[in-house]
Amino acid sequence: MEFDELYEQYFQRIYQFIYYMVSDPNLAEDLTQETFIRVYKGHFRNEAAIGTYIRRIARNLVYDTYRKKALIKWLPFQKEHEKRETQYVPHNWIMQSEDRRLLYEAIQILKPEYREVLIYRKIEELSLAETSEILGWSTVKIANTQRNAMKALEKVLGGDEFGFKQSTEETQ
Amino acid sequence: MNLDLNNRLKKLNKLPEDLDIKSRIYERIQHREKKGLPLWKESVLLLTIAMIALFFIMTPQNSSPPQTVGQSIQAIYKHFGGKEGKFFARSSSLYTSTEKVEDTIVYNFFEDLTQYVEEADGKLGNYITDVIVVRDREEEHYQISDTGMLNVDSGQFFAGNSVTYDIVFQRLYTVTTKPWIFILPLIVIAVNIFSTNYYKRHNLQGSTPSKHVWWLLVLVLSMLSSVFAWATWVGPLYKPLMITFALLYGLIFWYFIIRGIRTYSIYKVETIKISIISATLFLIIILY
Repeated sequence: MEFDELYEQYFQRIYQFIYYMVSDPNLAEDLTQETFIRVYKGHFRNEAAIGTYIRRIARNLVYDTYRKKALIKWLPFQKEHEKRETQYVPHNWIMQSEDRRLLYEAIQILKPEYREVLIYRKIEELSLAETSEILGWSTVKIANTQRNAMKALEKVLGGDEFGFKQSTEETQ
Repeated sequence: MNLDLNNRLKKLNKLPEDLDIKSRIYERIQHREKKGLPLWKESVLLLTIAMIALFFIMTPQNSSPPQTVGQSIQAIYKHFGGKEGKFFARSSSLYTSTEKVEDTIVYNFFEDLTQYVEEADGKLGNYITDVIVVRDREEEHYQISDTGMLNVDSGQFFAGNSVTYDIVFQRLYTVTTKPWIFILPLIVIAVNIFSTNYYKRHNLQGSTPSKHVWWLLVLVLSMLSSVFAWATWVGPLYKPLMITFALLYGLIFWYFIIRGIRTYSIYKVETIKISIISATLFLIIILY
């Protein structure tokens, strides 16, 4: 498949995934760009479906960003997106709906593993097998993480009735 | 509630496509490809290595001899495996294959040579050791062999006929063999076996550096090997220079390998691996 076709087909999914994981439009743009640069330069050897391959690159770049920010700030020749501090800027589309905003903000509170499983399984509705290939986890582990993530999300959202909504409004 | 939550989450999959961002990224990727990948980072690294190497090569020439009070000879250094017409010893133990002599018989011998040797015409034998005697803060250069010794500075040959001469020659010709270099391949094999097993056990796929990175690594490795080959077969090299090469090699290797890694566990394992190999290399050079 030509790069242009791949780009057309996967741009939005990759950008959305990264955006939901980092909550920073500029960083999401940089990481999406880096993902497709790697796809452009990479040698895809059909070891996995191309979609899985691209998603894996995006996911690893997101984790690289978390890791580099936490562990190796002194790394020489950092790339621009690695130097930048993350800024929490919710998308306009998310802010337009109260329900979307609450749900989005609740997801951001979850730990990254829960967040990504929810994105793949519940937002993008990928199959267990697809998610397993992307994450490199067993399907059992994914099912367990998904269950725990949903519980955690319900717990956070449950806080709505007890002040979560109010507290998020106060912080703005 | 769960069903409702599922439906609500599904709705988040409709984040509108931002065409500006999409075209901006696409253009940048195309532009980047046309421009080609900049090699300036690699060039800067190689230039830095060359500059540091040059710095270390230039500085040892000015190293001053050690100072002690109360005796005319402050220190004696030897370099085993000398060659007639070439002088490799240096007045510092910071050079490979150069040892500081601590033997009092050798010190007594050089305090007054005339008691043990006599000026004569002759040639050095096949077994030669280069010796530097630091006397009154001045360096004297000698080559001592089984048949006699040569004052390199004056060109005067001395025949060594006394028993003391034979003892001194034996003491100076003795070399302490340190086969530490053989530890390196063992360590490299061990850490690679460990990492391969670790990746297998955790179902991880190790990273393979690109062709471009491999060539760079081969280039730096050849430089490092040349330095070691020089130190082993030609003459003494300044240890800090070798350490700099070894550490820079580790750093370059780490930098390029890490850039290609996309899994945190692999990052940790590879970093530990490179650190162990660099530390081993460092120790080998210190003990060389």
